[in-house]
Amino acid sequence: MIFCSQLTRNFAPSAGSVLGISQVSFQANRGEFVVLHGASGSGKSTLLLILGGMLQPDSGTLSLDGFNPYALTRSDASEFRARTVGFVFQLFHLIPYLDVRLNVLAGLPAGSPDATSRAEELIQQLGLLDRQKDYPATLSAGERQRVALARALLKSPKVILADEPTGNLDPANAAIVLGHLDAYRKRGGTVLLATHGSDADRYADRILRLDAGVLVSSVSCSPTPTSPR
Amino acid sequence: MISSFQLILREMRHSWLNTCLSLVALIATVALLVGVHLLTAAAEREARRVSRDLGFNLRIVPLNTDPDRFFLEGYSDQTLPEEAVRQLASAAGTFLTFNHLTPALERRIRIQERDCLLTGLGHAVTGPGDKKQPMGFHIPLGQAHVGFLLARHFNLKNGSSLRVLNRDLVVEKVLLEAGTDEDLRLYTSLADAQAILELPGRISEIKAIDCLCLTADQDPLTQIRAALKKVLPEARVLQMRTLADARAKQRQSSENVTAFAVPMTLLAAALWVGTLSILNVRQRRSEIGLWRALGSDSGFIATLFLGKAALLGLIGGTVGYFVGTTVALQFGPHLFPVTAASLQANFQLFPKALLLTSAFAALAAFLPAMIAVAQDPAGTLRAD
Repeated sequence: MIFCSQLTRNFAPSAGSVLGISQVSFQANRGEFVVLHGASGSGKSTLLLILGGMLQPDSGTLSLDGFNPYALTRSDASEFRARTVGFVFQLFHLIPYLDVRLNVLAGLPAGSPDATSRAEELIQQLGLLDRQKDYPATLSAGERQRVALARALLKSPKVILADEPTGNLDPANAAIVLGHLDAYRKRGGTVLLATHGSDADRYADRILRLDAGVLVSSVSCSPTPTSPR
Repeated sequence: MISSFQLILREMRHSWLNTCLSLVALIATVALLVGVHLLTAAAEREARRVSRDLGFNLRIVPLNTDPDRFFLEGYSDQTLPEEAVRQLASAAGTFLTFNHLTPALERRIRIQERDCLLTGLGHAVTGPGDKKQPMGFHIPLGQAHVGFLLARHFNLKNGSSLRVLNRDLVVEKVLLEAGTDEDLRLYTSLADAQAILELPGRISEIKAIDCLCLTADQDPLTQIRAALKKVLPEARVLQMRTLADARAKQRQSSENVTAFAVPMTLLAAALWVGTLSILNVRQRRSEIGLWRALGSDSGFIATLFLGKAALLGLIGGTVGYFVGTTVALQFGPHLFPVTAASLQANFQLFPKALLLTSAFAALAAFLPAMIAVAQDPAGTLRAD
């Protein structure tokens, strides 16, 4: 599903403390839950953005679902990203002027079959039924992240790239989010989750560790069976 | 699942302060331009009326007119054929220099032992396609306008009869006291004056208005004389410099104000709307990054910003047109009392206002929209 080799991205000194990545190679298969560990500034977000087709690497090769998104035209790359990748961010990135329901539906092309019913189903599964007419400013951090997760899941992407999705959540909400990512993985999706904590480790098939932009370890493990709440 | 139009509407409601400030700028600009357009037209009408009351500023007289005598008598004792007016009017370029060509025949006459000035006025000729009302009086055949002193001497009122040498005239109008030789003047149609003076087909001058509208220091007379020499070499032109200068200065002043105010207003509005658009783009950096992450292309991002600007332009153009028109109609009659009745809404401006305001707002927001399109989404989405 994801194959990358020797991915490198350098930032200009003016980019401040943001580090790039250097010579990162790994592979993630369909239905695999990969946790990416590393301290703040170690290059986790940079790697996820490169994998999601949002940040072109300086060198190295990438194959996502058989395609290199950087070899596509801009419009084809956008379409590919819409179809293949779901993002979940630490800062949620909800659209402030859309209510919960429309945030979940955001980015979905008009006329997508069954989108509304699937959105309602996800809203219900994620415990947001009574908040679906509310706006992001009125939601708690946990609710916002669940909306962002629903938005990512609605497209049924092949890969979910989650950047510190539990970084701003209490343990209960973190467990809900991780449980749903685990359920998605069990349905055949691939999850790549970047975190500097250890909450996600029990769901991981593999744990990668980045240090100053370099992939220093890759450890396979057996996930602890769970079910989403 | 939600259209771009709905997104724009919801964002406008969410960013209400930015929306309101942009609308204020657009409404104020359109209102100002519509108001200026209506009031400038009113000012021109008013100036034309005032100029008409001031009189013609060019007098085209026979070449052999003795200037000394002309200024002592106030008219030329020589004549031109009446055809000279048509000859002048039909020449190419005449109306770039002259307008309101009015044939006149003037002489001093005696009516019942009383000296007076007889002025016969023919139909004024204006430029082809010129919608301006001809200046000066139009006096029907057999009728007369009588100066104040003359009317008092003969005890004339509107509708009175007056025999002038061999002709009976009806007083159509007694003129108000002018304090000039106008008070001793008897205006008739050109044909009546020619009959009274037994000078059929002759005129003593062509009265005109100078279209160059140059002030004396810009030496308009040389240009006017050169233009006349080509077309009517048997005539010479005299300029009533005080009147011409006053008219030129008034017109130049009005044009200068418009030429300064309109671009400055547009520039200020463009800067205002552009700055607000840039602020809007900066506020929405995270949203732009998110749309990119969700797979939206550059066209969609540009549509969000240019579409918003165009929609603001439509609203601003509509409200601004009605505000500008209302203000002009409310205050215009006080500013231009002489032509107050002709101050009316110009509905042909409305579609132009809508179209141009939308295009203007989109143009002002173009650079910010391109900034949004070119924004690197990774910068706003990166957590660490």
